[in-house]
Amino acid sequence: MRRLLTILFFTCCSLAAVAQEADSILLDAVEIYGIPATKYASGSSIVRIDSVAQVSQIGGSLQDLLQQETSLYFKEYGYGMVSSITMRGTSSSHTAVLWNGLNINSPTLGSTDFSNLPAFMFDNVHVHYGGGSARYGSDALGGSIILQSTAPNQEGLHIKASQTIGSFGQFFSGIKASISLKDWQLATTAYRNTAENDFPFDNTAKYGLPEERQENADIHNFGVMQEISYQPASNKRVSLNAWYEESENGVLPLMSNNLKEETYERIEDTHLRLSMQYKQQEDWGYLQATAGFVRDQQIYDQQAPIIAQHTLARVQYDKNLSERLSIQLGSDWRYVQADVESYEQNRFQHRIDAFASANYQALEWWKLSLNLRQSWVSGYDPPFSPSLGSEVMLLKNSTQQLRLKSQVARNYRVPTFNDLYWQPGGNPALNAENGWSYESGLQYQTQKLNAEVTYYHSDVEDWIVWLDQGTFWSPQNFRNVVVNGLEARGQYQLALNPLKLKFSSSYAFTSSLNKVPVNEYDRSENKQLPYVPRHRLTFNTHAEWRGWSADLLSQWTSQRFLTTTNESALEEYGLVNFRLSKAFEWWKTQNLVSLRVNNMLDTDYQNVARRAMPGRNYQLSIQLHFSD
Amino acid sequence: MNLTKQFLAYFFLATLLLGTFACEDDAPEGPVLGDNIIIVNEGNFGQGNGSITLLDRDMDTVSNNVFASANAPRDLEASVQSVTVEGNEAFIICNTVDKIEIVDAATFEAIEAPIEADSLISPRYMDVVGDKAYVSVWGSFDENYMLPESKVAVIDLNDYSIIRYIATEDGAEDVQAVGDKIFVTNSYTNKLTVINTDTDEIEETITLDGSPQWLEMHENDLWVSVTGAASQFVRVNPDDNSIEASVSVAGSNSNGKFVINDELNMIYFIGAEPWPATATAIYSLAIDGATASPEEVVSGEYFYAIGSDPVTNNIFVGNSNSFQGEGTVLEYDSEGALLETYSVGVGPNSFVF
Repeated sequence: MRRLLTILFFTCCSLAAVAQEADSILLDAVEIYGIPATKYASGSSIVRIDSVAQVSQIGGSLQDLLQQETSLYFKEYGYGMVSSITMRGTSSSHTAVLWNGLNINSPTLGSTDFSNLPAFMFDNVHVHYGGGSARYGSDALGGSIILQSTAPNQEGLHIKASQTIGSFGQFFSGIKASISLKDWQLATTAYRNTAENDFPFDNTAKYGLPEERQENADIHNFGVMQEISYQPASNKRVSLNAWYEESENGVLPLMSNNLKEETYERIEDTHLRLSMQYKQQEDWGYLQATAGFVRDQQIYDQQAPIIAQHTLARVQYDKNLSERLSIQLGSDWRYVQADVESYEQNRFQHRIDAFASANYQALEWWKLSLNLRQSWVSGYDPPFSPSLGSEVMLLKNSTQQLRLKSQVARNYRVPTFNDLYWQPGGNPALNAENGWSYESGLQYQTQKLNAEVTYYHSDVEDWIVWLDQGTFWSPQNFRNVVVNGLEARGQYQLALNPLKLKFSSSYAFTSSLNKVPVNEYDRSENKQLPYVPRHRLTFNTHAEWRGWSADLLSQWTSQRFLTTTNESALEEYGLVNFRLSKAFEWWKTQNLVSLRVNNMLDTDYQNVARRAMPGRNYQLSIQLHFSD
Repeated sequence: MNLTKQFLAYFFLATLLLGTFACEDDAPEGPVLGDNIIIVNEGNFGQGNGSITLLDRDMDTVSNNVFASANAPRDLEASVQSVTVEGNEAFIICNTVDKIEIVDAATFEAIEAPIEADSLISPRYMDVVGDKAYVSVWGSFDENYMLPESKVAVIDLNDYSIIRYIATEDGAEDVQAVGDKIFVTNSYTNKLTVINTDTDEIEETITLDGSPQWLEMHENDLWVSVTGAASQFVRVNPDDNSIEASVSVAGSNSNGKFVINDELNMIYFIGAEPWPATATAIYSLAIDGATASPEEVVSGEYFYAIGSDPVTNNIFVGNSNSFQGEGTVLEYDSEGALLETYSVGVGPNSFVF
């Protein structure tokens, strides 16, 4: 019995700790990785999230990870609650979230709840800043998040187990196991995260300002992903990926409704995502075919479930025509179905996209990328979306590189099912939101330093806004938003053996202005959009010394306006997190114990107005890696 | 005159002056709040950003967020449905967080903990008879979006406790005290409820030709706005609960919100064109004269509140700006000429003069 338990206990998987950023297809006799996210994206800002940072974020969601490592801003309705992303001054429905090439944004809301994306599931996360509709299709107006489940590339059995306990009843258990035998590779990832979330806070919304414990903010998340990969020949690969997520949470109440049980609501989400992919590399090119199925179900406070499902298929052909020119051609097909009581009948939508991309090395120091996409959707036609990017190597020698990047793109977002069909008010005559974006930046690299600064400008038209029509609300293609911003990122590594240091920082300045007032008395013209901070800064320090590592992670977010007129606002705030860990070996396992202090300065802040956030809290984790 | 006499004369003069000021306090009651007009800003649905604005009539200035300023760091953190002033106290009736805040009518500082109760779900409007307050309560929606649990809460103003609940028809909305009776419009039905405040029981239920919305007194008559196929204003005799007259306003798209200017004998109401139009207008309806018909006074978009200042007879209109950010209050003279505009909170929905 004990042996069985020991074996079960050591069931983990160790996936590749660091993968290489590559600009070309990584081909070797054993593995086919596929086309990296960065190909055909010259001139744009794509950043891979540091995998070391991911390890430190065990137990958290993708939001926690991205908020710490990037200048992105998330609007979260309380810790662990519904979380929506803001990229480059736009809203959560203007960010595409891609999993294995499939856009998993909900068709009803047009966005993804980042609290339902656990950091533990993915070790390959790319952030693509800025418009990318030519590349990824609808929704990629402000940016895109690219999630990939990489097939394991190490022979044998690997197991990784993670256990975290944290303040306010947090309990996280995660397991990753992979096995590679001959032509087959299997990987399983499963996790369970629960938390009571009953943190103490000063309730400034109640008479007498009592100290209370947060209620009805408990979270119960569970997820499992199974990957099966089969390589019948060295140039062919079939992979199947099944991902199931389930969460049952309390909806954190407004501060003034805390302790009022009759106002409490609950939310249940289940997501099933399947993808099947076939890859083949031949002399005549590279072929990739993907089929997918996504089913999202949400039950809000015991009301009728909201169900949306989509079936997707995608075919892609890549070829290096010459040393200088490589192309990609393809087509996407999508069939969406929604079963929502408020739509009064089941709704369907067909979508077909045709796309083409080309990389052209015009000169030794000048590379161009062209992307084209046309989409046809039942009911209306989104605009033709081209994008053109250029990368100029201004300086290159043995110690440093300096690049000038620029890109111009046309982007769009199709209206959501809620916009089109919600009764009363749904407007089937809506057009797609669309806009042009332009960006330009410099990237500088040496052995120790990596720095990038980008300026961008984006003009979005036909932005959909729900307006009061007297007896009910209805969406209109109303707004025009102009965004001007500056993004800066840097990483500096220093080795003073045996001490290793790494500093990383990111900063974003965003001016996202509304250009269209609702009527002559609307004071919102040329004012910042609500919940888009003007400034966001992160600064992280990582130190390693003889098996010990320490991280000091700080972030600062500026004032956010609550209304379009900017006449009410939430204060700026800063947060500091600290993590200390020690690696040790035991039998065949590489292990890590870490202690984390979150909100070390016990800052009292609000991310979304009138919802309390926790003060200082702790997490203790242990991770075991077993490899055979 | 010697010093003593001078002193006495001085004293006498001072007393006379003081007496004059003291007499002013005993003068017949003018508008409830002196120079300040209360503007109730509803806030966005579910967001808890309702607020109160005070408009200084003489200075033509506004002070926004008066509750937050008086009670910092606490704010209302709720939607505000209505405000009722009784003596030195103001009652702020809130939804999203269902409560009734009790504040000082001059400073808006909270006097007591707000009135909250498990059964006080969606309180709406309030009026007072003697030392009891009557608050209309919607109750919870059922699966068909009806309000079968609507009631009136009776509150003892000595200790702010809820004495009892009186069940009414669906959608109990506006409440009007007349003598020792309370009239309640059940806006989801066609019934007007009459409550006897001596027994705190329903005395009678009046059936109307449409859905009753708002109640206003004029001289000794009770006026009810009725919406539906036969949009009209109904005059009720509050002594015998009988319907005396009704004036049709069909064609003006009345949404039931109205006020009465006693001096001008005029009803002002809001008409809102049905979706997808956003146009709204303020109409006037003369009370005297059997052949009165509504006349358009001003038109615009997103009119959400109507008020009539008893001191100046000016018309106050709240522009909600479709709840996209903070709204505006427009002040017109009784002819419809625009005098002033004021930047207020989100969704101004009513005025208290």
